[in-house]
Amino acid sequence: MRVATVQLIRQGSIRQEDLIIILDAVIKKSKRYGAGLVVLPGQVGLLIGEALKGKEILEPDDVSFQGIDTVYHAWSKQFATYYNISLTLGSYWVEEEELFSVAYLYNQKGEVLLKQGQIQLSEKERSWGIKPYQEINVAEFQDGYVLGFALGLDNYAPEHYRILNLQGANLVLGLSTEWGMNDQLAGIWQLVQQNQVYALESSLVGDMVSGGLGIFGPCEITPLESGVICDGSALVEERPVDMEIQGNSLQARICMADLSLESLLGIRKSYPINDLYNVQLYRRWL
Amino acid sequence: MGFLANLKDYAGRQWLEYLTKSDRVLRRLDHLERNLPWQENEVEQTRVAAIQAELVFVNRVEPYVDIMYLACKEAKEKGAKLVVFPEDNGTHLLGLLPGFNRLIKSLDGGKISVGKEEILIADVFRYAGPYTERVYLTLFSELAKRFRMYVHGGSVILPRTDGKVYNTAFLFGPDGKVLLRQDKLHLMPMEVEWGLTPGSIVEVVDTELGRIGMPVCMDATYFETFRILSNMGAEIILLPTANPEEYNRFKALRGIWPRVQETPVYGIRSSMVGSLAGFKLTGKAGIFAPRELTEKRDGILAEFANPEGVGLVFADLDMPGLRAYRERTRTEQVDAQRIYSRYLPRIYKVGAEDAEDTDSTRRDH
Repeated sequence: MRVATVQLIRQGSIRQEDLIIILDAVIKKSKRYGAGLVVLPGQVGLLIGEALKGKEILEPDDVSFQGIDTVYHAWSKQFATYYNISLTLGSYWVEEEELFSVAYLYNQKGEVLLKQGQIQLSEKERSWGIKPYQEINVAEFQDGYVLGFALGLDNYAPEHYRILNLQGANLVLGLSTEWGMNDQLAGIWQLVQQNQVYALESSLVGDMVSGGLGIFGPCEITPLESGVICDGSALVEERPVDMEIQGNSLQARICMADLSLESLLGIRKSYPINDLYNVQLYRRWL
Repeated sequence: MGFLANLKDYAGRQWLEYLTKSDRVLRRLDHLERNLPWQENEVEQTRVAAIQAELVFVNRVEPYVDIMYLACKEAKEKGAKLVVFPEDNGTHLLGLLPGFNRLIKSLDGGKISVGKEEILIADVFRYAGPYTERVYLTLFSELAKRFRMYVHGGSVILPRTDGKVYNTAFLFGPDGKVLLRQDKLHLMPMEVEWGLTPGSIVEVVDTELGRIGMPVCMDATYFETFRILSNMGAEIILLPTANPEEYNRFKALRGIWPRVQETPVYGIRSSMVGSLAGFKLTGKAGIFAPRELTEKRDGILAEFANPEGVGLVFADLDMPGLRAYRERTRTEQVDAQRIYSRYLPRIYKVGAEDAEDTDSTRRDH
């Protein structure tokens, strides 16, 4: 299965047409090069909000939640059906019974396959009134893949990835955009290793937010046994990413890879981490 | 067992009794102290040492004592208050078994051929257990006492009165007493084949340095081990390892380093190199901290350069700094933990669910 994951780098004020043009270009090129799934960054809602409002979004008080929610779903559905591709446009703030940061996965028919909210929150996110989401969900995708999301600091939470893994996930969409330091080795990379899953990391980068870009798998089934399949953040070596698109106020960097479920299941069989849990111990003390 | 076999077995055991008398250990230590005396070096810092050692099968106890004494001497002379030996640190003593070289050559998977009979590797450890245990406990207790420091003797594979064989690590206090004993909780597939049994108890101990927990090697593959220890208040985690694969920096990064970052705690990894049961052992001894507490923000306080060499690494732990850091990060965890607890541990559905409760057999040493 060919997949694509995207880093968006904010370079100036975002206008609605700029945003649509670059999202369209990213999804169109990913589709043209054979991707069946595209993963856009965490906090893409900030860009949508800015495009709607005409000024940079710095915190939830600046946001029209309803407007972003409407646009997010309309665009997701249109892009998915027009390009016949599964995608997540990334995450955004939504006011439900409480304020959450959520992401949706759409399939090619424009249907919602999966919704997930962020659980681990930074001090800044808490101060804005964002609440931890209460569930961790997975969804059956295609060709035997089971998908789960990890948003922001959830990409540093071993419990989150373990719960996804135990619920059957073998591919995690890591929308890693966050306010603060990003370190993939301490986050997504190592969570992939201890759960023997694949993960696609996407991120939004700007003055206040940061995050990495990459496609990760268990060391044993990746080049140089590095655990890195597509190295958008130069963890192993400095190399150009698969595609770059320069827009008016946004630059997109895209990583693509062919994932093999057979290889993943092979390493799970030959080194069965999942079979060697000490369940009795955990039930007593965890 | 026939008469002759009985006689042979009796003779073998008598020979091992003779080779592993505690007196031999003590006499050798006296000899070393006379001929290679150590110099006191008191430092104010919480200095700790991790050892990278080679697995060498010995046919007498004395060379084993020499290796361990010299490592402690170097640690003490450089000011360490705690020294950590590697996993399988009692396995050297299997070399005492009559016919050991022949035995090890017949190794096939987890089994060994003895005449026409096939036995598990665990059976070899079971047979050697009483002798290994006596030398190990005498030696490391004595080293801790003589050097007046905390000595983690590494792990040693020993039988228990329940008939099962465990990979167990021991921590000795400066008075020579066993402060903490910890069975390996997660076995490698290879150890499962050997016939070892995972532990089911986890404990911590308060020392002058801080609260210590000490899982073994593969336990660091599982975040659960460190989360449990952290919930018990562990601040320093000692991890003896013996990693049976060619060194690769990414694969080697998968154990204690990420656990230290996500928990957070100080982590001390000791490494065994050499070869064991047909596997090449590699690894770099190291001392790790949360990235925010390290100068280069890389989470490494000290790491041995060569994954196949032998030696010690040292670092000073900033315990007040760690405690302040933990306090700062703890509050962020509370809500999330409540959500996770709705899933964990309920949804674990595979593995050692059928493991028996070994509480009753835990304290039979």
